[in-house]
Amino acid sequence: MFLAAGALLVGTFTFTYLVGQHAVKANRAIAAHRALLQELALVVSSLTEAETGQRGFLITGEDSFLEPYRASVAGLKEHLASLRTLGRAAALSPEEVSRLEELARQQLAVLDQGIETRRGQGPQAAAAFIRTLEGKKLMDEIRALEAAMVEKEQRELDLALRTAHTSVIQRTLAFAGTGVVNLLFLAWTYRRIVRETHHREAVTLEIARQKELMATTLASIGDAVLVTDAEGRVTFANAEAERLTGWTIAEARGQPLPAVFRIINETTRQPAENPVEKVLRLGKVVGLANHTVLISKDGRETPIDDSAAPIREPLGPLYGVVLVFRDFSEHKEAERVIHESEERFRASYEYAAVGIEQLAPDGRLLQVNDALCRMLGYSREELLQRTFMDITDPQDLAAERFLIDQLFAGTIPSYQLEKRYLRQDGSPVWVRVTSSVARIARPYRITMVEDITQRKRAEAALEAARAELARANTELEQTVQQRTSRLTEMVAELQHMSYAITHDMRAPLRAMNAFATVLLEESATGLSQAKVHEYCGRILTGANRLDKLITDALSYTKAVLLELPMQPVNLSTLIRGMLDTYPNLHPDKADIQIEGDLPVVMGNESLLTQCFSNLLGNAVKFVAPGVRPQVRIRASVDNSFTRLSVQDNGVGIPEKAQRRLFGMFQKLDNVYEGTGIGLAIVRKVVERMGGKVGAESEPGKGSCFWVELRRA
Amino acid sequence: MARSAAILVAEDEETDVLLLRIALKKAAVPAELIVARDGQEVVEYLDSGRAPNGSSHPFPGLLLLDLKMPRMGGFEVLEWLGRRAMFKNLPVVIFSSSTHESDIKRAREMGARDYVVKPHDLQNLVGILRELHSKYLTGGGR
Repeated sequence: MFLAAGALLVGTFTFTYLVGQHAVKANRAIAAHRALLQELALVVSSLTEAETGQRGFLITGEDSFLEPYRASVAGLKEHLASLRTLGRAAALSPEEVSRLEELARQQLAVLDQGIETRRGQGPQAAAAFIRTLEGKKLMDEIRALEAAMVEKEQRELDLALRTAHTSVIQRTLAFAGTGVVNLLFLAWTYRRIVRETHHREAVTLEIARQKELMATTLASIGDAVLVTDAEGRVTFANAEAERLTGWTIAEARGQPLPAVFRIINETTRQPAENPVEKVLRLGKVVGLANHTVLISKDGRETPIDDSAAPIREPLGPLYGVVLVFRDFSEHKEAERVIHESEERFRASYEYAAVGIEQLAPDGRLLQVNDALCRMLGYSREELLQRTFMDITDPQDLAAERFLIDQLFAGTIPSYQLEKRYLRQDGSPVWVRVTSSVARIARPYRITMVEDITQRKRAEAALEAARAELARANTELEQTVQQRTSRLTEMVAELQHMSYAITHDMRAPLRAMNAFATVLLEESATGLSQAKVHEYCGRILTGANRLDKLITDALSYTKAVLLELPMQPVNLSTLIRGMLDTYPNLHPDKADIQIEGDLPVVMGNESLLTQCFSNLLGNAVKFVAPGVRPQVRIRASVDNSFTRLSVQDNGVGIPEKAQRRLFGMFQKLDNVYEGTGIGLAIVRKVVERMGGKVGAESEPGKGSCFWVELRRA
Repeated sequence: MARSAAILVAEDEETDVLLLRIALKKAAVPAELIVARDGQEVVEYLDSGRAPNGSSHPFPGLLLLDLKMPRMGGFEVLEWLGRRAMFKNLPVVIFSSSTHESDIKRAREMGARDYVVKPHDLQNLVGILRELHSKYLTGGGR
């Protein structure tokens, strides 16, 4: 840039110079032309003056007129000489100058002749001579030549003037251009200078600030700093260095280092090697041997550690050495305290009764304590190669993962969870873990692990006991409910029976009472023998009826109340025995057939006997007068039940009456003798044995009663 | 219209019917005893009688109704009567051995005018018949 600007400047200077030269040349030409024109005019005017003087002489004959003549002739000669000189520089050709000289010489000769004539021959001769017009002709010729020359010169002058004008303009433009370029260059240079100045100011400030910062830093740094020059003389010491050495910087400056920095070996008490010398020798950073003691100016001893480093630019010469050291006595104490604290912490960790583990976010076990190792039956080395996923029961993993995610996300500060860890032998151990996150350098999880096996066992036992109790309770309730419902049922049935009995037992009582009364009242008035028989008969009937009712009622009560053992009963044997022993079932009174073999059922023999005596009794009883009862007994098997049917050829039962057939004291009519309890007893005993009863009948065509009993 | 002196008795116990006859005789109440052996016969009797006039049967001035009978019981008869407006003026007196409150209440609700528990002795029965006669079978009865 600077070169380009310089080249531009040189260019413009050269250009301006050339243009100037050109203008000077043009002006010189103009001056020459102008001088030439002047000389030409002077030549003519000199000739004219000479002629005028000559003429005056000619006329007067006085010599005074010859004075100007002679001056003019002298001038003319001068002018002609000048003209010749000038003509060489101008466009005037030498031939024309010579011609003018020739003509002038001739004219002068003519003039001289005129003068000679006047002197010699008198005024007439002179006048005659003038009349010859020789002088006039010559003069005209001179004037013509002069005019031609002037015209030519004038042209040359005009040309020179134009050239000069052009040169002036060119020069002006060149000056202006050069001026502008120079101004621009000046402005650019100015800006450069200003900028550079600012930059230097900033750098200067920054250097000053850095220096100050450095000085402040060194002064306020906790470590002691001593700086020496390349000869090992102290140049700087900060406050801490002053304190430890006992030297002020003012005293120490210029002192050799060993004087200020006196160090000995703590144990041998021998002077230790001067670190600066070592640095100067080796040219690199050196540390101080351990157990070094610094002895201050006033004799104080301070254990120190230090390092010394050369001060040099990279690959440059060594300027000096910087020595950094610190009071090791405090440091040592602090270190001891920290060490002890760490030891205590480690002990608390190691000897804690609960398991403690540190876990990386990926589940790796970073640290475990003895309690945890014992709890899980692993050695520390084995455990540290596991992840928490390895030692957690898979059933508990998902729930805890969720909590861990929240923990590391910072959503929860900690969590507590009861879970199962897996021992080395694979057996689960119930633990309660309390986990939180520590964020030292990078986050990890600290977990306290408490063995809660005993508690869990107790809980499980308690739970089992509770469940057993609940079960027993339920069972008891069921039993109570069953018994209660059975009792309720019994009470209802007995109530029903007592209700029915009040009704049915009163009738015979009423009859006995009434007929006895009639007999008593009317015996006095003479009752016929027939009437007495009838009334007494009715009283007896009533008494028998009552007895039968009481018997049946007791049977029914027995069927309801008695707890009777169930056992397999062979129905064939049972029924055949009944046919042999019951008079009303005897073959001379009824045809009773058993089809095939009857099965063995689960039941109570006594109840079954009651059941079949009633059913078979009914079957042979309810027949039309004069008809021989025919009864068929058969069995059909349906799953676990046996249905035993008793088909008769009796009068049948109206459809309407069939639904209350098995009710208490339900008699179909008064044609057939009976208490109305029989079928109620049948139903009751069958139900007691877990079976069912039923009947199908068509009036006039007989009935079929059936009972379903459980097979043995 | 003077009431008929006929008493329709619905009673299955033959002994009780005989006792009623004896008691009626003793009571010297001038009333004819028509006997139905169960509810079914009551219904058949009343149904075939249609109306008091122009009937071969005497229309009873009182129905003495036992509750517990084969085929059709007293309550069923009451229900049957309740559905027939023409019998609304026939007084029904229950004549039963049952002393149960529920039976008495139910009978009342179903339209029975009185509830008589069958007495143990003849003397009481005579008294009851007299009372029933004066109450329901004489013109001046309520």
